[in-house]
Amino acid sequence: MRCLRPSDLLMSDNFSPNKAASLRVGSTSPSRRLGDGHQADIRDIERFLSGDIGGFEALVERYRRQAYAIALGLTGNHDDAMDALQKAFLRVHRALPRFHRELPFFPWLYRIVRNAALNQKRDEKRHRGEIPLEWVRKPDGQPSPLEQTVAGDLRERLWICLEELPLEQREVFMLYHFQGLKYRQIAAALNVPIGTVMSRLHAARLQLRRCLGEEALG
Amino acid sequence: MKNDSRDGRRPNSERLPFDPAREAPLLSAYVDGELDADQVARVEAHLASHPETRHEVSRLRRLKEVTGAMKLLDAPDEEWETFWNNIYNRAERSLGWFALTLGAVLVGGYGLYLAVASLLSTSELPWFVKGGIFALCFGVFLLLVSLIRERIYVRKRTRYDEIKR
Repeated sequence: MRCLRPSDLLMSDNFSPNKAASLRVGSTSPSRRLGDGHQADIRDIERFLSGDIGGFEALVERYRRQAYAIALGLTGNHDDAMDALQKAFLRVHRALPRFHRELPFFPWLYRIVRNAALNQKRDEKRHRGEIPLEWVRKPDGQPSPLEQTVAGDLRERLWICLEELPLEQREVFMLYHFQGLKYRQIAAALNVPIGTVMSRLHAARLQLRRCLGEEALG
Repeated sequence: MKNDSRDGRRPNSERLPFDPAREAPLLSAYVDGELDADQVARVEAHLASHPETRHEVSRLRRLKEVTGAMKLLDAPDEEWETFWNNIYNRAERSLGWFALTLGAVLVGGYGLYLAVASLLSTSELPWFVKGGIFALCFGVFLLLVSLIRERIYVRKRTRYDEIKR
């Protein structure tokens, strides 16, 4: 199984803020899904509860990429993230009959994936970077060699700085920046007040800025 | 909260001034567009007369630009192609381990019972050997019960406890 270096989990896209909106994991925004997709989730859950495994498979298909990103952000490497993801979906499969259908699905899933990822990280102390890696970029918009060097350096530093954040700040930061969730959605996923989300995200940014250094931010 | 104006903002006279020392997280929320109209008005009133806070906001914006230009990589396509197989394999193995453990406990327990009963019924064994065998079996039984109890307890009480059902 291929293993990715932690710093390669982040991919620079030529530092274009205009592209930020397109830089979320997966093709569908979770924020939109939380608003529109509840009925689809419930329909699939009910299909599953009536004995149609296709309902479960549809749920997994809908959320697996986001769930992978959550696991990846918390475990820090691809293999652990995949293991955690499989365990999490098995857990979902067993726990789905007890899911309260009046609640949104994503926060519930988030907590399961989060716990699976944290358990995985605790249980598996994998050696990172032993397997040869490949540079992953989008085929369009190739940067100059200089830009590529700077992007690679900053990407690696950002990942190191993210790993140094306390867990509660790190997950808020990742949910906001890499999952594209709004504050209220993060609050729902973590079961904390919005003010807590706000203060954790701000604290994370201040620490990241200190860690990266002002010169790195231009 | 009293909202008198059409845009949902309170009149300036009713609004508490923004305090950057106590309310610094509002600056991040301002950059993210997550504040309500009244909070935006408070922050902007402060920014209008405090260049150092404006500088702080611009630094937060720059950080957001940089971090916004990064994303977590998706898993390789070949991983997703085998994803379902891996899930089903894991489920099968989980069931397999359960059956194997149950069978081992039943068969092993019965074998142990036969062996101990046979040994204890042998009259030529000294009393302390019989006592040792009894202690050994009692210890194994106690450890097994303790292990099962711990597994049941852990399953009920930890890891996924905070998940809302």
